[in-house]
Amino acid sequence: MPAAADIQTVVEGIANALEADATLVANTGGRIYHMSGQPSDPLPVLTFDVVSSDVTRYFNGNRQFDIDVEFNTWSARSGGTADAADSAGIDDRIYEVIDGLALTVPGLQRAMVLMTSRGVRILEEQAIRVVSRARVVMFAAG
Amino acid sequence: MPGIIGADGNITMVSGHGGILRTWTATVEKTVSEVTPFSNTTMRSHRVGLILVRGSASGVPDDSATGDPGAGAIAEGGGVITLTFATARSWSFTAAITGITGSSDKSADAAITFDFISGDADTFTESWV
Repeated sequence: MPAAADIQTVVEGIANALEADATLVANTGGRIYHMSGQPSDPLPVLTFDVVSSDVTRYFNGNRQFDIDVEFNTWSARSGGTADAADSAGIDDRIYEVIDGLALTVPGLQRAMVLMTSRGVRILEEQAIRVVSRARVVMFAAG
Repeated sequence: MPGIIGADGNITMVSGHGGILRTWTATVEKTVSEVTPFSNTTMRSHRVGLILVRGSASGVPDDSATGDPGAGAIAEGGGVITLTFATARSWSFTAAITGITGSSDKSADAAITFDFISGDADTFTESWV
């Protein structure tokens, strides 16, 4: 498995990319969190976290790490018309920012974020949650 | 006695064919001739002949300068390949590369597979401790 420090570097890299995007910050009101927001937060809120981590081993000692990251965006329930500041619009922006993002993880190569699913909408009481996933592929020399 | 697990394995590929490999499979088989005499009344009889080895090895392409899959220079008679189950437990023989399959997937995965068959040398060595 990748070391905790490697996963932390990935989390920080994704957080930095999300928070560096002025559009995303504006449309979320700056409520971009790793793991969980605050109970008192108004909507919309964006959270993300690592949900799985796999390793593939090679005969020469190399290892490939596949880390899956899930993004959740909540917005107030609406009539279904997407705009930039609702969860669907924010989700679209996540894709623009994250897909193809190259990360720097010390000691590892090919750290790239690739979206694997996007735009899955879930109705939750008075909010609409949109879920997207990305995979970070990294390679460690043996 | 503990069993061998795949993590103990290894492969030394035919020289000139690069790749970062993580799996190999090989079948050692013999030619079969039926030698049933007229006197048999119950079971057909067979004898086996020479060894034939065929198999494949897979992994991902190697981006290093020496990682060339070697598709443009496959030796006619093959070269030595060693398939290791665990330390000091291996099969070694001359193998001819019969096919190289490369793939690349925009969603992240790339792969390379080498298919081989016993080559032009009359040797097969099983080393087992």
